[in-house]
Amino acid sequence: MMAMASASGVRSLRGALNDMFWLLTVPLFLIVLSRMGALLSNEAVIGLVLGLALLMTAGIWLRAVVRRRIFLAGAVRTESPWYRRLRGGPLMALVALLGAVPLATILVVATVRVTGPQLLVGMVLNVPLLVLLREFWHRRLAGHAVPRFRAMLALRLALVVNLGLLFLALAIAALFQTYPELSGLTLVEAMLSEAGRQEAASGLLQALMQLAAAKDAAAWWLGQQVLPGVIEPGLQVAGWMILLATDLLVVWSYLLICASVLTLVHWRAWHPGSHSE
Amino acid sequence: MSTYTERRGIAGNAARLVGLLLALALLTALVLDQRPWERLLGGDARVGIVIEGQRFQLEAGDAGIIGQRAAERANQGAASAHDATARLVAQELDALFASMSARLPDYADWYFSLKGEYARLSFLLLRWGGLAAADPLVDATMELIFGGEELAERLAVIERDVEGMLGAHASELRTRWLEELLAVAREPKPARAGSPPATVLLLDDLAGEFAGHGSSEFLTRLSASSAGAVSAGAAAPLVARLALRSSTAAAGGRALALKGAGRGAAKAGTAGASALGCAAAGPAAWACALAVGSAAWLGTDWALLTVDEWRNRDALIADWEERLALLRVELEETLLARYGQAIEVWHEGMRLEVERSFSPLDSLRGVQAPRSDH
Repeated sequence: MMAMASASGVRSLRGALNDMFWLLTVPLFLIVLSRMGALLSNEAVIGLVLGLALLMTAGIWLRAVVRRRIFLAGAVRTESPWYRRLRGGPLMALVALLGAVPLATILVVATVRVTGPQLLVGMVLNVPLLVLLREFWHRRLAGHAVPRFRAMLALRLALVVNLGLLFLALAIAALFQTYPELSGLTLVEAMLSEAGRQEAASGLLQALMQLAAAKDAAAWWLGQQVLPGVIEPGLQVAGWMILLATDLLVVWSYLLICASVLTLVHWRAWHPGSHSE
Repeated sequence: MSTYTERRGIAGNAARLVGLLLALALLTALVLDQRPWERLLGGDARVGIVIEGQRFQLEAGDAGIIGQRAAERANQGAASAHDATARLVAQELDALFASMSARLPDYADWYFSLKGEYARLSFLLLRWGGLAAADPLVDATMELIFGGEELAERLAVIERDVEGMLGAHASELRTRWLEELLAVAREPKPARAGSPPATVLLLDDLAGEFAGHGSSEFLTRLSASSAGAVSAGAAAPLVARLALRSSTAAAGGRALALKGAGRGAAKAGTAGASALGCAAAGPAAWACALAVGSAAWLGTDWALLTVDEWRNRDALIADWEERLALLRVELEETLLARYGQAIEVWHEGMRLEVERSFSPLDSLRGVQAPRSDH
């Protein structure tokens, strides 16, 4: 019995380590993208965004399918034709794709624009964290979740906790970063100045990078407005909120891609199947 | 058998763990270390320059040279602005004070005239009676030497001239710097021609600062101070102080006053002696005595004034030459201190703007962003 448990632990650890190896391809790809992204042509950028969006869609769609199946299992009779119609198919995938395209765009632009090492190092170190969190929830849910949905529920919980942790780490790192001094400029000057620094071979990517840079400049500018007599630091808070909201979207996009890689690796095991239980 | 499998599994996991840690370390190093990327992407990093809507690309080393030259240009520009201001102010003050010196003989004529004498005497009487506030000596000095409002007007002209000269100087500095920049860039290529630059330098703010329109607001500072005619305002108290100065000249003045008192005693004696010569009697005798006495007083006074002028005119003019020289020094110091301060603020603004504009070069390996010594 002990030997079986030990063998199961060894297998489980091997599975987790294999997952980590698979997941390392994501930060590796993003590191290369951060260095080479500015060299890409318009077509390559569009292809890249669509490819990443499709990859994201795989994970989003499967989680949506699981959520739908959980609802169907509880609410709809299995013999009803609606059970089959509502189980999740191409339409659900299309909706997932529509949501994934802007997220993939945000991730590509943020990765190409990245200047400090914080984001990319955070992404690399997050790989073991995500897998360990998933393993943790998988074990915790052993006595609670239906086996058919357990893997995806564990992944979902791991993603939520990981989002909070990675976001917190990046927000703390952002506090210690240095930002351009914009206090002497007007808001428009600050935005134009930052937008003017963006360079990319692809006009489309450059335009997106300029938009992102203008947004960053607006946030920094707001954060640097120290008005005499104004005690409530409303503008600074607004600036920080813009930065944090963007960071949150970038982190979420990254985690969605990681989740999709894991989902594709374990597609057969994690798919709830077409049968009803 | 199962133990063997288990051992193989553990060994496999240990190998995977080591491989994973190595992979994590490798990826972190790839993020933190630039060198592999520079080798992979090849060649020297290129830097984009954006100025006046034009985009250029050049080698990072050339961008560093442009930064160094901009810092040198800022230092030279401020130093030559100091020199040019000092030269122009000295030149204009020379002309102004030459015209004032030329008026000193007229002032001496007034000073040693009966009119001047009695104006001074009447002021003394009025001041004893508490009826006079303004000093006619200062008024006359202002009018005869400084030409009334002319001093203030001439100073305002000097301020406008200096402001115009410094504006042209700043504009020329910007033009020369731009020429130098283009000379280093040699053949400007559109930014899209090759791979995107590693970093982009925006130099419009620096060009504005060179031209005096930047955050130091050099030209605004100059025109604001000129519009207020600060120098003219500062000159008035200096002039009043000099007119009433009681140093060597005032010692001379006291000597003159004593002489004046002596003159009065001599004149009274002469008047009395002349009145005795009036032979008429009754009221006519009084009128005669008064007329003769007055004529004798004035005649004697004129004669004594003439003697006094003969003896002291040169001393008076020399004393005023000395006062004017002192005023010139003080005015020059006031003007140069004010322009010097504005130029220093401009210099500091250019220095900071050079550092700020070229600071993105710090992120490129082997390129030194300019640090102007100050």
